[in-house]
Order: sequence, then C-alpha cells, then structure tokens
Amino acid sequence: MAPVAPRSGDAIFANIERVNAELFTLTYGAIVRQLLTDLEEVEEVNKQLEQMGYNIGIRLIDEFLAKSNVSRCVDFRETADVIAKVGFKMFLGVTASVSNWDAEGTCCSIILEDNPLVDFVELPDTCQGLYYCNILSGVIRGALEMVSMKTEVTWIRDVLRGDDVFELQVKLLKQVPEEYPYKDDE
Amino acid sequence: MPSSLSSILLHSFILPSSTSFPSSPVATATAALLSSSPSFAAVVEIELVLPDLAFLLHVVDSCSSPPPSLTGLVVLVLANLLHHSCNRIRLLAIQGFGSTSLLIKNAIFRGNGVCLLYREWNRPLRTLNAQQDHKLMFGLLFSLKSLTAKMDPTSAEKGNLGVPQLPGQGCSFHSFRTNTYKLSFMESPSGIKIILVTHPRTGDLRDSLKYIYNLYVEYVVKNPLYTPGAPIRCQLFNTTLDQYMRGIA
Repeated sequence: MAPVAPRSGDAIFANIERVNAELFTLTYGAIVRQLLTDLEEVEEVNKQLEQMGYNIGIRLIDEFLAKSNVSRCVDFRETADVIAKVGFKMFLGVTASVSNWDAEGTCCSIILEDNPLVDFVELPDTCQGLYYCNILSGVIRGALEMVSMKTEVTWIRDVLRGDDVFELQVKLLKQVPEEYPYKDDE
Repeated sequence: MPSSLSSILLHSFILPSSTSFPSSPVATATAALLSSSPSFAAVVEIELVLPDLAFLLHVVDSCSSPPPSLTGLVVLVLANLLHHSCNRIRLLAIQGFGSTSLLIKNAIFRGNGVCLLYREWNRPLRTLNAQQDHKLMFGLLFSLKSLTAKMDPTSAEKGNLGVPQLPGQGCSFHSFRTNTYKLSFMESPSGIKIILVTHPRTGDLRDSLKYIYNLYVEYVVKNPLYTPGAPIRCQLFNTTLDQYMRGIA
C-alpha cells in the first residue's frame, strides 16, 4: 500500500472542526488581561504566555502529525516550511512565509501578515514591553521539542508595537535523537 | 491447546544468519529474549516487510522437538518505567491474537520506553512479568528499527548500527510475521510507537495503526487531565479503542 501523501494546509483546514474566530480572539484577550491583573509584571506575563504555549505545543504536535500525514522533515528548512505553510494554516487559518535564512540553515524568520489573535487589540502605554502573541512562540518551541529539535523562538517585529508585520525568529539549537533507554546489563 | 504449552515460547527474535552485527542493542535484545524463554521453537521464519523491499531471516534453533501447531502464542509487549533524561520514546502497543480470529492486546508506551497503556483482548498465555515483557519488546523494536535502517540498500548515508536516530528518519520496518503471529508497528515523528500483534493471516494494518493514532490524539492528547508522558487512564479512550478493536476483529 502506498504511503498516504501529506495533505495541504488548505485541505486540512477545510475538513477540521472550526470555532468562531471572534470567540477565539476574545478568549485569548481575556486570558492575557487576566494574566496582567494577576501577575502585574509584563515580563512575568511574557514568560507565562510562553509556558502556556509550550504546554499547548507538546500536545499540538501529535494532532498535527495525525491530521497532516507529513513524514519526518529532512532538514530544518523543510521544517520551517511545513510550520509556515501547513501548521499555521491548519490551526490559525493564516498562511505564513519563511525568510531570512542564515548561512548554516539553522535560523529563519516566519512572517505573519495577519494574525487572528490580535484583532481588536491595542496595547496601552502601561504594557509596552508585552509580547501579546508570545503564546505562539511557546507553541512552536513545544511542538519542535517533541520532534527532537531544541529551538529558541523570539519576536523580531510585532504589529502591536508599531511594525508592519509579525516576525518570529526560530533558531535551531540542536537535534536530540532518541536513545536506547535501558542499560545493557539490565 | 495442549498443556505442554504452558511454558513460554517466544518467537519474536531475529538473528542474522550470515553476518554478525557488533551492536550491543541487538545483542541485548536477542540475549534477553533467548534467556527468558525456557524452550523455544525449532524453526522460526520471520519476514520483515520494508516499504521497498522484503527479506527473510531464518533462524534455526536446535532445541527440543518441534512444537505442535500453536494457535495462541504470546508476544510479550514490554515496557519498563525508566527515567532517562534524554529519552522521548513513547510506545503504543496493541497486541493480541488468537486461534482463528484477531485477538487484540493493547499496550501503550510512552517516553523513555514507559508503557502508557497495555490492553489485551484475548491472550491465552501469561508470560514473565509485565515489566520484563515491556522491556523486551521495546528493545526488540529499537534494535529492529536500527537494523532495518542500517541494512537499507537504497539509502545513501547509513549511520553506524546502534547510533540513535531521530524517530521517523531513515526507513523503518512496519511489520514482521512469524508462523504464529504478526506484529505491526508504526512510529510517529513525535516518538509515539503503536504496536499490534495479531493473527498471522491479517492483512496490512497500517491504516488501523493510523486510526488508533488519531484516537490517541482525540481522546488522550486533547484531554486536559492527561499529563503527556504519564500512563493513560482515560476511560473514554479505552472504551473507544475497545469498540474499534472489536469492530475490526
């Protein structure tokens, strides 16, 4: 039996169950607001959002792999392409693009032109250091960690801070293959 | 089944017939399997089906007289709880077989070779203790994967045997069949391994394995009360899995 070909982001997005976009945006906004009230420090909120994203990412990867049938990516370039074209499309309904590859191919930027998380959002002056979409960086970090890649994900450009697009920098730190867990003499 | 079959018969080992592999994981798995079985069959023929090629490994053992035709033989699905800092190996094993129909035993393993879930639907023979079982099965699969990737004639670059590989990289076997059971295997890039041990005349089970992976995603991964890596205690998952298995049996 021939292996099933991976499905495109559009096809999966069309078949998957969807939720109202406004509900999603407003819920996320409520979470961030509550975190700001509880933690008060903007840095703490950033960290907490990233941690929440990480917890989501470690579960999301299985759903992504099950629904999209992608096989193991050969190199990091393919990984970044899959995240931008299939992953973002499947879960957020937006297509991202990849650019700014460095010489070794371990660092790239994912550019998002529109982002459903930030509809209706404006950052007040008291929260200028806040990375509102930091949950996304946690999601990517968590998901890649479950496929044996340790990465570091940071925001380069953020529309809420005055730039024109969202730009996420994804840097591959190292690949961690699985090891035989039992000692030979056990 | 004759009562003389109360001893454990293990058929799930491979030995390279002509070449010898220096790798210790293969040796360990083989040695563990051999030492745990008090007596084993005369001839075992295992057919490994790889995506592009199939080859046969014959193992002849000069032990006691050939066993009668066995219908309810057990493959030990093992995983042991072992905390190993760099491991992210998760196994989902579903196993079981019976005389004329598909009998299923389900075991789910998780990171570090930890068994996440182990279910059986019809397993006539009890063998060893569960933890030993799990370890053996895990070692077997790990070694088989490593071996199949190393022996791939179409791949340009081959790592050394025993060198850990990223899950999903290289070619991986998807089933092997002996004269008494068939073991089907699927591994996701995130490390989840699904194993199904069934009657040898079962067809290709890759679709079933994919479906079970989908079930895992729906009922286990999306369950907020479930910690990734912990043994699975989701009743809904067990029920749905049961229904599916009885449906395809």
